[in-house]
Amino acid sequence: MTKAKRRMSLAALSPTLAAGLSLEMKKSRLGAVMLVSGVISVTELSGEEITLLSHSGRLFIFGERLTVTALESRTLAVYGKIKGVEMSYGRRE
Amino acid sequence: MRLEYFLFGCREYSLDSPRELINLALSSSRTATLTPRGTVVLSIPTAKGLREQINALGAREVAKPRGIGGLIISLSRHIPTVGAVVISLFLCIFSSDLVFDVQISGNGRVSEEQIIAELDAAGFGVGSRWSKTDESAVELSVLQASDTLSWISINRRGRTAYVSVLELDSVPVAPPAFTAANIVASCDCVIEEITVLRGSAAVSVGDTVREGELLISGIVEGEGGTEYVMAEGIVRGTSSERITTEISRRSVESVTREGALAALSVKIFNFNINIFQSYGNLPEGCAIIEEKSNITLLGRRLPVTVVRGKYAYSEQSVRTLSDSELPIAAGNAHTERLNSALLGRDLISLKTEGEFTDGGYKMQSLAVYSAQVGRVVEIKTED
Repeated sequence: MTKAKRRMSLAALSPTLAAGLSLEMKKSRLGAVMLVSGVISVTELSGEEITLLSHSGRLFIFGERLTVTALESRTLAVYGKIKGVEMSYGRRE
Repeated sequence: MRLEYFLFGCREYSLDSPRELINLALSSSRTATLTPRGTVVLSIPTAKGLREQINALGAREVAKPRGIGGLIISLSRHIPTVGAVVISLFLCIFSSDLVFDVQISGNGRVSEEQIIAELDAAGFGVGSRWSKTDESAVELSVLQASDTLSWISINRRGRTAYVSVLELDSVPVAPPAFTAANIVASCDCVIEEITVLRGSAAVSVGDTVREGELLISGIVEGEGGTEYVMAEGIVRGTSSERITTEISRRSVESVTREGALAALSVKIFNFNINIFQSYGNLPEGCAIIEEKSNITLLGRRLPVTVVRGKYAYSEQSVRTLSDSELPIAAGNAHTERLNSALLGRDLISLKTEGEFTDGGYKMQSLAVYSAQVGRVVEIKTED
């Protein structure tokens, strides 16, 4: 079994592990970086707005010159000038 | 650039919807980066693993692979060049440890070939590895085995070994086995100098002595009676010698004629490569002469030696010398005899005459010289 398949099967067995959405802000060389874990997919992606979908709901990130890096364990790192973060509750809202 | 992109290399893709590629990386737990230009960067292993999905999304690679992995990919197209560079680097590193040349200095009577042969016997020479050579051990080994050198030093400068030597002033003579001796005259002479170091003088300056006559006595009379000692001293006398050389008009000359090439080999460092060798049982009167020639490049000797073996046929021919050739030949032969006879002697005067004889030519010299005339003779005591 490949490493990726092992991770995905773990998430399927324990959906609660992947259900949580957590945000973490860290300093980086480029300023600050927002680490968002528990991301299912990215529904909107542009330099000014990023919309993320998770089990808990959707997360909207606004700013300027935004770029992302998808990391392992369904974590997304957002770089750039983050001006605001909004949440919506429920996946279908 | 992320560390993994640098180490494993990365590829940059452009597509209509970069979001889909980001989602693809998220769903497969891989890393992907959206750049400010709107392109997506994936590490080379990730791109390889998601190749089909990436092609299905219609992504186009917009730049050459970057990072160390990208460099390896681009170099893989030039394997012969890269291989040649790697092999050259290896050869440079390896060859820097080898001795390319040996330069000898300080020798006079002893030839370079002899010193190089002594170094070879001690396990050092062209082709030896510096890292495996203990210069002090080689120097000690050469001095112990050599009876012509009194000092040797091996210095490394780059890939050349500079060997400095000092020769022994004279061949060491073993001390006599007896304990008491006289010094007697080795030839008829007139004593011009006598210095007694041990014993008692039996002659004085100006005395004419015959060969075998006592010069310094080893029998010393002391307060305790007669004592027998090893007489020691320096006695110089003036003597003369008649040296004659006669050569025949008919001379048999042995001429060596070089023939065709019989063998060819190339020696690179210590590796001998035989190109060809054609001789087996040599006919009578035939030998093989070896010629060694070193290859130089821009004035520097390379560790490559070409050895050519040629057939050499020895032929004897009888020729008759003419009247003009006879004195020249006799003179050459006589000079060699004089050099040998006067070795170690100080020549005072030399008178040479030559004349034709029935069979050839005769040259005669009367040489008056000064030399050490003492000879040690054992005193046999009755115990």
